[in-house]
Amino acid sequence: MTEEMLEDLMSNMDLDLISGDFMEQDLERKRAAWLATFIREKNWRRDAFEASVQQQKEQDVIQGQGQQKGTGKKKRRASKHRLAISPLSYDWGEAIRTDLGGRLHAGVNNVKRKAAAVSGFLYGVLTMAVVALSFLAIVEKKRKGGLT
Amino acid sequence: MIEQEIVELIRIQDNAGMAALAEKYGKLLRYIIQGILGNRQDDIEECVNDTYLKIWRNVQQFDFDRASLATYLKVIARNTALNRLRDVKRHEEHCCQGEFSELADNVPNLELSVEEQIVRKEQAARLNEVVRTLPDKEREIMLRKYFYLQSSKTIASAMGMTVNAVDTKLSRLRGRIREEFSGYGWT
Repeated sequence: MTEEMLEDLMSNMDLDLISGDFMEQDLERKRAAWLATFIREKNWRRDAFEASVQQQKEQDVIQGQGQQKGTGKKKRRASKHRLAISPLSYDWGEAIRTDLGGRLHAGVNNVKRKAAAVSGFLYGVLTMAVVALSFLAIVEKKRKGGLT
Repeated sequence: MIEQEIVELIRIQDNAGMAALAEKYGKLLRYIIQGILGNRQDDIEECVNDTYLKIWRNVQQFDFDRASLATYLKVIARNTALNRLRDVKRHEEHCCQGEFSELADNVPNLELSVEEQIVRKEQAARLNEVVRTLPDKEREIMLRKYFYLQSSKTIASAMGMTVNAVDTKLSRLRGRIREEFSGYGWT
């Protein structure tokens, strides 16, 4: 039996077997996923745009002060591509986030390794101390003639 | 507009009914057809239009007490897309052969004899019984794979399963159907 035969026979399925709504649910899920992505993207773009506008305002204020003092600098024209090169874009955010995450992970591992080394050393010292004290106690007792 | 109103408008051959139908079910039809035809955009558009045309022409024959308009649309869209897919494949195969004179000999005869039609009807009824007895989840996998022709990856993603789990279930289902149809000489 080939898959094609099965597909052919499926063409004659009873309607009540086809009436399930899982295809509609698929579509609904896709729509919800698309909407979530769209809203996230929109928020990132809005945040980036607001940040770039704010930055531009601050620059204008600084340049305005400079001109008042007579430094003679020309006012720079606003870049048309601020959003694309803005370090506040999503890609930059992701890069910073993953970089920080990586560093944090490495740092925690480093601290764990050091803590294991220190605790191992302390256990070793403690064991040696117990052995030494026991030895001294035995020697002392032997000297006093308690042990035969 | 609710389904009943759309059906009534189409029954009196009012274009507003088709507009409402396209608005309400257009995405669903495109989703079903795209799952079968892949990224052949022109063919998808043609299939969607063919589906609307079939509904427009045959609406009087549909029994909406038996099944909803959405169900009829799904079946028509699926069968139209499957036929289109086979036409396209056949066309591609013949184009590769180059010799036009041989085309007529190579086109398979799709008309079934009366005897074949009866056997086919029996087999379809048997398959219906088998599918009806399946648990809900397995029935859904079966329909997704062989009715909507979805890939294992798509099924796995939609049903929250792994691709391996879907393939294993499908393999078991095929084995079971093979057993049921052993009497027809299917191996």
